[in-house]
Amino acid sequence: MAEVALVRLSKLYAGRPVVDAVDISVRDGELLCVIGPSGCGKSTTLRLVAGFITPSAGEILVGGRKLSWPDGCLPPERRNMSMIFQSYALWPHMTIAENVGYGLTLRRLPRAEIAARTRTMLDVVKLGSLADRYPSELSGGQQQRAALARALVIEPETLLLDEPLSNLDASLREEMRFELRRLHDEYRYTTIYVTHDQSEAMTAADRIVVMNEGRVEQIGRPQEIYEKPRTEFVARFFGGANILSGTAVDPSALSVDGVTINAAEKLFEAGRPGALSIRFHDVRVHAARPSGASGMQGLPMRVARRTFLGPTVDLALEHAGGTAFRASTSPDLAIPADGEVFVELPAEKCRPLQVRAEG
Amino acid sequence: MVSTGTLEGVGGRAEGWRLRVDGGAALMAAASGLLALLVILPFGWLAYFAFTSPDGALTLANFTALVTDPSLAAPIRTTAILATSVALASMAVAMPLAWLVARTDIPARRTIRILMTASFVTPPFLGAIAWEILAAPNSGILNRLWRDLSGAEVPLFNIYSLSGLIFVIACYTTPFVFVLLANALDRIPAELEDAAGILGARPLRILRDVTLPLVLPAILAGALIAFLQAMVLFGSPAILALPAGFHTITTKIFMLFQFPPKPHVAAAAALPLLAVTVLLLWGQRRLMGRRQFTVIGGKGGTTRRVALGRWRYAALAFALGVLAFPVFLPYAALLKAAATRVASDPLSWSTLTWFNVHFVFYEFSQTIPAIWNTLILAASAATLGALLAFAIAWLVSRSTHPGRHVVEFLVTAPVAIPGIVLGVGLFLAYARPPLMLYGTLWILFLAYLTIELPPAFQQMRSAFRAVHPELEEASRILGGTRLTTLWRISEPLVRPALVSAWCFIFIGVVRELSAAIMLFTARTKVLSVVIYDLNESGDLGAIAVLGITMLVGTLAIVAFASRLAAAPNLVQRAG
Repeated sequence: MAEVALVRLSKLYAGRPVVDAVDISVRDGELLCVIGPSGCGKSTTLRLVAGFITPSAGEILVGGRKLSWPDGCLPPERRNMSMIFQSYALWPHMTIAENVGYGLTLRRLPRAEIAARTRTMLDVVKLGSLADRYPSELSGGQQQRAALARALVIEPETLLLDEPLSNLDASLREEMRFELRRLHDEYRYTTIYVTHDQSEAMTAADRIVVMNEGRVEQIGRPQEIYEKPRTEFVARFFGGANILSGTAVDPSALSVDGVTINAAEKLFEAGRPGALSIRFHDVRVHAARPSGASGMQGLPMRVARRTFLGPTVDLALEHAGGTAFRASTSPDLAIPADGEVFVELPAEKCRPLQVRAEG
Repeated sequence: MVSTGTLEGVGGRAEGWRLRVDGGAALMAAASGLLALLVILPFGWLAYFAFTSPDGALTLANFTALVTDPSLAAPIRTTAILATSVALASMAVAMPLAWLVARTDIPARRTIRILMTASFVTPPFLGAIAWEILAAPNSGILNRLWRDLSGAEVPLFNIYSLSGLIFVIACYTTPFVFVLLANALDRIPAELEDAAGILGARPLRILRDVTLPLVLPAILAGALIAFLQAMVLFGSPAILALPAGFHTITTKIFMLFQFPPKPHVAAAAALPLLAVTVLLLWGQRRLMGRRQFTVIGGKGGTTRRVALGRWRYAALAFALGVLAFPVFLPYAALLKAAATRVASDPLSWSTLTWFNVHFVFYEFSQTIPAIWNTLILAASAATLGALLAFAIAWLVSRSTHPGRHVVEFLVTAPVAIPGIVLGVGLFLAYARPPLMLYGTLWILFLAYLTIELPPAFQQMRSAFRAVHPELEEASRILGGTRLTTLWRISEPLVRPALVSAWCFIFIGVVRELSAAIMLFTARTKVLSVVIYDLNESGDLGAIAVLGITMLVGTLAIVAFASRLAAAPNLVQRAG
């Protein structure tokens, strides 16, 4: 086992960066999720780590040993890694046992040891009774577990997962999510897990890397990413969030349409444009501005649409400045006939955002 | 992550092995070099000869001769008439038959389809000879029957005529057009026709407004293919036109190599043939789109069959009639000729004889060497060709190296080379130092390899396309080298295609005559050439025995090879 470091890693296709100066370091035994929308470069990053692609710039080190750099690239078969593919990539001409034992066969282990380790691994993923079946005779979830067994049985230094659950139906996906986490807790391989599903990332990961347009937006523990998004993209990607833009009056306050909104942290530069995010459910809507609550910060808005969702009500709000806003409130809230409400924005829920440098 | 797949996947997939270390570029260079040798060398010589006079001076006189010399202009005219008529005739027959089989409840439609497809196996020259046995003006079985029955003096058919030639060639191009059309009709989802029906169109109206326009590309493509085949065929015109005293381009090119040889004029006559072929194939590809044999992409829904009612058996009679010409009658004639001393004698126990069989296998000195030559050439061309197609298809479909387009072009280019043109090119290239291959089996081997590589490659390429690259990548990341992966993962997955490519080449070599006729020498005769020679001496009984032996032998070897291919569980490729 080892730690994996991606240093200023870039990959260009036809002059366009698909992976753009990415710095990620995965700790020994950690499960790191790389998440982002389609085309954000997460799969390319994973394939760079696997050695299927040579980087255009930067390097990849595993345990301090350089594996990939623009002028050379250790081929995938010499990296002591394993990978689970989106399509599972089980070989249809081999039985499950042959599939799982393949990596051991290549390592020229004694026949008896191959059989024993294959059997043990198949039992771990609960496929012991299906060893002699062919992949096409297995269900999607069983195929997925066979792929997992095949990847784990060689005891790799590093385990790579490329959207391993995206071909499963919803209930199976949930089950496999916990299964993956259980196996990781048991074996503790350094793992890079690529997905576009935030709940998958939240439940499985030790830390999450959010990527967008080839760049890393934020790295952090799941809760940290959710509660303290650093960029507009991260705020919007994980659950719903409103974004307020304005001009910074001091490092932790923003002037939005002449109203000063305090943020939870210092991040702004006075006089420069800034933005903050607040989650839909952290917004508190009042029928009128409560009197006597002088410390309360917020903005007057008008309700444009009210959607009843059962336990909550979704409000589409409009600010005088034209900003669209959304709030998730209790169905008990009575909205005045003219639709004018006061929207409270608690300072501790207002997360300051980095304004990404252009270019 | 489907959408990134296109960008990251295609770009990235194979790039890991593009490396300097692995010599991907070197592999590309080696493949291009080998293919260039196969294709460019003969064509360089062909072009050189076409544009020079016998003393080596640059000239256009060879091309002027094509137009001005009546002995050259007439064959060109004849070929144009021949090819056009064949195209029209095979369309006229194949269209209704394809519709009946694909779209109606005609009885025995599976059998009809299988028999039509099976008639591919008949080499055209053998079919032509079978029709000689049937319809030669004096000795033809059918003419003799006609005379005996009607008492007439004049024969019913004369196969040694332009119309006879058109008829015989059309017999063997019709199945190609039929298969093309029947497949196209299969792929039209019934909903498209139902949609017109629900709007009030009657069946004939639907046929005219919906079905026909949808298969029109296939119809035109089929016509082009029939035209092309009729244009480049050598065997049938040599057998039927020469006795009638006229030439087609191919027989003329052949004659230009007889004494006194005029290779420069022959080369000039071959080039337009090549040009027209390239043009027609280009047109055919445009018509059919990139996916050949498809009209409409996606999954074809269930097709609804038109109920023919009391016309069912009339339709069946029509189908059987069509099948009689390429299949029933010729094979009956060959069997009859093989078993009797004189083919047109009435069949009875007293005329049955083993004489022909005995003659072919015990007296005729050319039989055994020709069988050996054919077997050696077919097996070696099939083996090397299939492996080459496998390797090149793998290289092309798994690499991102820009050189792959060059390789792909070079390997498919020979599709556009008529056999006789290739024969001329190879003769000009290898009947001289440094590579003096003329007179050896090698030159025939090169010819077969060049002719058969394109279809084998196309087959292997589509097989590799059907194998998800992740199946190979999974082996790499688990510790398999490129070679290990190729051998333990890729090869088993494409093995059915590999074996069928082998069979294809084997059959193709056995039935090839056009190139072989230019390249054989007394010591390197193959079966097709021996049969052609025997026809010149009129020994139809021996031909029938050889022809039947050839077909049965080929089928046996192909059946054996296919059994070896049975690979388990390839139902679900991506796992």
